Amino acid sequence: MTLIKHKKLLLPMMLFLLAGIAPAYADASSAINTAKHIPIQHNGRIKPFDSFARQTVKLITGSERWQKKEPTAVMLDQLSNLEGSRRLKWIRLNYAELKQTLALPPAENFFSMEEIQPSMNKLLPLLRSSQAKRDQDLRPVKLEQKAEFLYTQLMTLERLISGELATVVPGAETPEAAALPAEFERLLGLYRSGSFQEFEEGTRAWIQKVGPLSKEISHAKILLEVRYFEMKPFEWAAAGYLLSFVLLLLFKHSRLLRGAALAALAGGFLLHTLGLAMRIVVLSRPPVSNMYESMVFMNWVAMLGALLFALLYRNLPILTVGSLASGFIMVYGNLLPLDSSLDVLVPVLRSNYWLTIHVLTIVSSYGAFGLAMALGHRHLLCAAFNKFSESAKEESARLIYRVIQLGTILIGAGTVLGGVWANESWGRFWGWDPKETWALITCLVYLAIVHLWYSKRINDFWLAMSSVLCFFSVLMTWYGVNFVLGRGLHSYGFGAGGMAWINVYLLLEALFVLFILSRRYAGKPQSP
Amino acid sequence: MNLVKILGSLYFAVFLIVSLAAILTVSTCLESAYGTPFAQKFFYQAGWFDVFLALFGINIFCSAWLRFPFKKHHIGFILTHAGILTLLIGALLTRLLGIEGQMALYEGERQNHILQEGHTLIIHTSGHETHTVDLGPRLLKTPERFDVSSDGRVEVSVEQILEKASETLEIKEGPAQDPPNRAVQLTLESATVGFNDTVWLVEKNPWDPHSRQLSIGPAFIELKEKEPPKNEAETLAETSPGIHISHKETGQDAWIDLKTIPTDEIAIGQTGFKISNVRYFPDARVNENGLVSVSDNPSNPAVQFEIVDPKGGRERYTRFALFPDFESIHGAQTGISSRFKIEFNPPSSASSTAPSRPSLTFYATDGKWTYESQSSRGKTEGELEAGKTYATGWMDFSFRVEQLIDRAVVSKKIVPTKEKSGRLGVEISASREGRPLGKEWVFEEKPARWETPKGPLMIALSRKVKEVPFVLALKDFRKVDYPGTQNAASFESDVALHDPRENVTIEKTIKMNKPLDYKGYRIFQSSYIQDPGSGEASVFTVAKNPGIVLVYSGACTILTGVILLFYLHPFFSSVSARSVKNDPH
Repeated sequence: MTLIKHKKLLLPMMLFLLAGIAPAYADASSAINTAKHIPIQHNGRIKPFDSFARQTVKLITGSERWQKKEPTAVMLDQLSNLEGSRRLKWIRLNYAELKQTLALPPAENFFSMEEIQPSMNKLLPLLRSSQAKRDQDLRPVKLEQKAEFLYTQLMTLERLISGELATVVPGAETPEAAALPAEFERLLGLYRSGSFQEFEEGTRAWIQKVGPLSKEISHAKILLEVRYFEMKPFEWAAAGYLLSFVLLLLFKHSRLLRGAALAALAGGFLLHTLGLAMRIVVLSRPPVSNMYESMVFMNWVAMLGALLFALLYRNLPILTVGSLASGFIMVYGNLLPLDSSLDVLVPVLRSNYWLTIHVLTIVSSYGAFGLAMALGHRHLLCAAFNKFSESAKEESARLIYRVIQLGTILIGAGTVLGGVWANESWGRFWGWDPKETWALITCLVYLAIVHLWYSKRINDFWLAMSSVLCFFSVLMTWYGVNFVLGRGLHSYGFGAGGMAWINVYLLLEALFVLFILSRRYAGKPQSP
Repeated sequence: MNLVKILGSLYFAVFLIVSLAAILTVSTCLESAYGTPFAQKFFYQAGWFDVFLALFGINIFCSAWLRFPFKKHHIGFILTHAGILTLLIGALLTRLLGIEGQMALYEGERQNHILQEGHTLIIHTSGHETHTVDLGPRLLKTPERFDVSSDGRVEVSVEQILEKASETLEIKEGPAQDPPNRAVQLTLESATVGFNDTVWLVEKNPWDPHSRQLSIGPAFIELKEKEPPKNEAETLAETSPGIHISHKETGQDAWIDLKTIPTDEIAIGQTGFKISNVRYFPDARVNENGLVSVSDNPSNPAVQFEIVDPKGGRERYTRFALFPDFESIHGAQTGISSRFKIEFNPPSSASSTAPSRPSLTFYATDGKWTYESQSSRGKTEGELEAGKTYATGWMDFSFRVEQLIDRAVVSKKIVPTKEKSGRLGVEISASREGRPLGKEWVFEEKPARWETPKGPLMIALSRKVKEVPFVLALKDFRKVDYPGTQNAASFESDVALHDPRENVTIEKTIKMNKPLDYKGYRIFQSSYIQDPGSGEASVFTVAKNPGIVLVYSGACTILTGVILLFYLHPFFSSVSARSVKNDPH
């Protein structure tokens, strides 16, 4: 009973909110703003039109905005002129070898479906050979992978045109619902003819009408999801972190600016937390089921760890390092071609208690190791340029050790929890799957450091150095198993790409290590 | 004592930790390159790997030994390392005594055995003598010989084992005195869909009943003789489709109509024998999960059922209409079916192709080859000549005649392959009383059989079967999709578990992540088979994991120990950890 009451209240409330964000004057942008909230069933989930448009436009054109237009506007343009979208040069293809194979003009990067169609006979053999390789458990070459992707783009567009890609009336079963698409066509017609005011009113009526048709539609979640994309919480968080890093680094001694830095950091962290919370609410699941989400969460843990250790040890530098690391990872992570869309899960990953704890623990350990890695860099740099007092050096080493300790416990516990989950899900605690094996390798290398430091067999320099070097095993566990080795049970979100950026990181890291080593051993005569 | 010091030293511990990390790095990279079975065989399942893990146990044990008698500040250390030891012992226990296997059940079916990793050879000699040879997860070193009859007269030897074998056909012109057996080799090509494939059509191929037909996309290609139209009386004379089973001793019988297959058990007269789990496959193919039907056309009809004897023993029986000799027996080897006469009347296979389908038909009549191509654009026909290319009329498909053979001799070659379709093949040779019977390849779906004066010798290859102390019946299977997609959001099975010894029956719904527990066995929902020909089947993983309690308690002990060691150390020791000089840890 209470539920129904609640629901009755919810709808007017939502409509009120909707009215709030879409002011009464009618122009294209206000109409588009309203259209963002149309519920769409796409990829197994009901989502706002905006999210559907973002995902589809990004897949086809390589970026969410096309010709500086918002994704929703692009999608409305195309939907109201479906045949025209066959002729529109908006399919991104920038791989020279594939263009050459398909006899397409090499200077262009965007093509229309009509242009590509005559080359289908050249594309299909590539797809077949790539499928043959996948059947034999081999990895297709880059040309074949690009061909597969182009095929996905073409198929998505084809399904968009045929109307299979998404459903505007979720769960259409009643005759009333079946009559609705004509209404939607009318709306698109209004949009095409430029009657934005009528279009906007029609859209509002549509949203109201569709709402009760399916239990899955929640206007609150749709509103939240639209807001999430508008707000860009993670980008602002990264900006806050980087700003606070700059302020902390340059104006350590000004109380005012230090306060501003801490405020920026706190603001960033709040946005970061808010963004994660929004994803959790929209998807009703923990935010760690693909590469992008785990990157954002790992980062959040690193920042949380930095804040906690800073409070616990009354240590400001850890915040400087933490904000740089978090901001940097966030920016760097956005360079990787990771899928940031909000999507549904395969059955085995759904709603499991152990899985949630397992993945959260493991990803948290990455966060701790990331923080240790960043602290290691600082320690090595300060030591190399003699900026350390003896006590500061000891303090810094102790911090690194403490963070590594935390990471080791987390990864150990996370790996065991993974075993518990596996045992609860398919009766096998341990199976030497590459991902679990690499988690074990990471756990082992950090265990070795813990043993050596605990028994004073290595000094602060090597502790810091290994915190930098061992992060490679974290990267391998986290990213490499899925993208480099490309095998095993944990490969739910397979994909390739981003290797170039990872290689850049590895190269920079190698240069850094060489520089530090040369400064320590070659630059000056060895001191006893 | 010196040795204990070395084995329990910190250097040895770090050495072990670092080398294990290095070994695992190598193994995962090799796994990426050569596949999971490779890594399992040469690393994780290998003997040396066990020895290596045992070294860990020894190191931990010795390092604890060195600290004896323990003091108060050792508690974290002791707990942590005792936890690791417990965990390792638990893993060992599971490794030695654990059971893991698969059970696939169609709706309405029941079973009391699971299929495990690895294969066994089942050897039947005359006189109902049965021997099984475990091929093991690590396959036998070949060739290997063994006696299989109690009087030492039958000798079987495994000549060759291919983990992924596939068959290729060799088709050649035979000598002039051979009976006619036409074959044509074609290269089909289409530029628009990028198709280019060379295929054979053979009138009679002893291994493939479909060798005269081929489906390519929507098109159907066939090789046949021009035949006079069938007269009506002949069609009517055919008996109605079904299975007739009669008991040889008493003559009592049962009739199963294929149009209305009963789901309950069917009694065979008053004999006390029953028939259960009857399934009919109009167009049977063998795949890794057993028989499936690939279409509703009765082009390769097969039936499968179980005969249950009065004591409850079961035997699965499979019969192919086109291959009456091709009997395969699975399950308990009691030879129940030998006490029955089984007749299988398949439905007639008239009108197997729809007329609207584009088709290409080849005729060989009196040494003359012609073809006929049917498409939406009409019919084309003409004579055939090797080496020439003809248009089909459907899309831009064309075919080139590579070879025309009138007396084809079809021979089969077994070759190793990398394709996923490759399956385990074992080459066997057998001899009886020193007289060789010959060599043959055995696959899961294809046993070898030799007739000898003393009765038949049959060798079958089967997945390793293990009986479990309960019967599991699948009542209903459901798959729930994400809205608007074919992608499963979850799937679940309603099952009934019955333990005949304890007379216990449990009814439960098994879901992903919601297993059924019974007497140390856990039954998990692992996957499903959806196949239009034979309905839905649910695949379960059945596992018994005796070491898991030790593993779990070991893990908890480690966690407690580590927290004591890292965070609560000051409460147990008056001196800080870093200043304990002689403590190697």
